[in-house]
Amino acid sequence: MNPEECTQGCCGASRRRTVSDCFDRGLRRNRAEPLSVAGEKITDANGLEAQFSLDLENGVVKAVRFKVTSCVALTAYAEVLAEEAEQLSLASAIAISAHTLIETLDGVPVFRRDRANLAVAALRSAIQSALLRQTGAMNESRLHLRHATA
Amino acid sequence: MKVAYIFATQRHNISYVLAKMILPQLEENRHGVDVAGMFFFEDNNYVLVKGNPIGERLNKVAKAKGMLLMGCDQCCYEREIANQLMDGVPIGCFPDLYKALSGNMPDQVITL
Repeated sequence: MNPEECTQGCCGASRRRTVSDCFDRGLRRNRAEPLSVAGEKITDANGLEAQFSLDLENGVVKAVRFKVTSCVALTAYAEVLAEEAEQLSLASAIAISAHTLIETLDGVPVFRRDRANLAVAALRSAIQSALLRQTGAMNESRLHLRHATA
Repeated sequence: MKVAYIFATQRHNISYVLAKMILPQLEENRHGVDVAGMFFFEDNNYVLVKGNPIGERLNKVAKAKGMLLMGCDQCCYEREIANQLMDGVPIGCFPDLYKALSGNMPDQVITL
């Protein structure tokens, strides 16, 4: 087989996207310090947690990090999401769906695929924070809140 | 007495200790203890893949006796078999194992 056509990693042509490989990369990203724009920590019904943070440059997602509960499927989904979101505009990054994530990462049993929803919700929270920061709406809404409670 | 087995080493455990000792005894109701569950590490997880003849026999006994079978999730993902296990056999890590056994606590845990 032509190494350039190989997607299995054996020829060194591309990084593989198996759960195990994404989990390994995700563990490293999970240990890194959070970036400047952080979303809320989201907790799902199983008690699993996820929080994403971003660095932006000219409205583009420059880097993504996360802190998630050490569940294999969740960490792997979060890693795929981080890899996908980097270099996208905020509008494109927020459009990545849990369905897309599940389709992208093969090999997760059905009963573990709900982790994709948690990862996506946490990334979207970080993107919302970035959007609010960009528009200055956060400060404005705080002012409104002060006026309302004064 | 109730025991749980953890298959942690890989030498001759599944094809010999499980398939030729424990499993026939369970099938013949002469194992001598109740087995609350079995947890599988590393290559031992291949026995849980759908269609494995030893695994299918084991799953039949497990269903009949209410015995937990669980594969180590990282081991299964690493081997790319996590979504190929027999129906009803979950994967999990230690918290999942403890939770699954909490309703049927073993008196002894035997590591093989």
